[in-house]
Amino acid sequence: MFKHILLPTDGSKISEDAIEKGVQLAKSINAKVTGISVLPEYHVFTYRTEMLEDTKEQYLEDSKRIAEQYLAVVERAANVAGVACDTTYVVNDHPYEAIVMTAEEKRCDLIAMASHGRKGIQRLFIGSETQRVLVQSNIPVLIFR
Amino acid sequence: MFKTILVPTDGSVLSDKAILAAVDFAKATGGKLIGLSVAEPYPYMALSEGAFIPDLSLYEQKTKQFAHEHVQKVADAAAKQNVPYETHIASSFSPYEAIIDAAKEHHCDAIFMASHGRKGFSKLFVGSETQKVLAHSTIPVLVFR
Repeated sequence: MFKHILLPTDGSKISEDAIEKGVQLAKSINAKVTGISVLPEYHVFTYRTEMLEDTKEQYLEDSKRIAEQYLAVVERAANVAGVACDTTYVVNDHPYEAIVMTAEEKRCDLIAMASHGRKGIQRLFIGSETQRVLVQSNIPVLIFR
Repeated sequence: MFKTILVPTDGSVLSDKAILAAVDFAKATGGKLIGLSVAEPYPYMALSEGAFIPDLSLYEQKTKQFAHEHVQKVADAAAKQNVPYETHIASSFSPYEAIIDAAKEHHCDAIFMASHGRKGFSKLFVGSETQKVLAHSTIPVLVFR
């Protein structure tokens, strides 16, 4: 049975719902969870306006704070449910890569995530990062609608 | 958490993996399984006068027989662990549709299935039927790689 579930979050409402369900799942099978948030790298040339206004250091500090906010949601849900939890954030332009690598590093045996993320449904049947995680993962992936 | 798990199978090794995990899970959480295999009918085409017409009824008989064999594996695995189960066969050109319909009909709250079936190339892809199930499902889907 699954013992260690990785819960990616991008801070969106749909992610939060998935986290809640992921934590409930963990509780029902006595598994522990790891929350992960992945933030994009700093780029000088970018359409991301918030990045343009910052120096690299400032951007990384702000990113860290944002990640911690997203991860606090995971921690809170886990604490309320009595599920063991740790969290991590990674800076990587490709969330799927960081998610799959972290699952491996931490020896997770399941990734549980939302079907879509921050960009919303956008006429995609399944979100782009979720799709990539699914294809790249070596462990099972549970997709919450 | 998942009380009624739909386990579609096409008899492939990866499907077997999904079956075992579903049985384990249901055992741990007091759930039940619905095993399903979809037989594809013979693709009728406009046949010209002298064309070779295979024995269509034999074809359909065989595919149904295989479907029965596939779901029998679910039955056997579940029975071994004293997990309540049902098995069903469907006949459809669109396995994903039959899967989605079965999930509704049997009030399933999750689907455990393989990422690809017999036609599966490799870990580089997600099989076409799994992809469509993911696109259309309204309940969580746990995909085994």
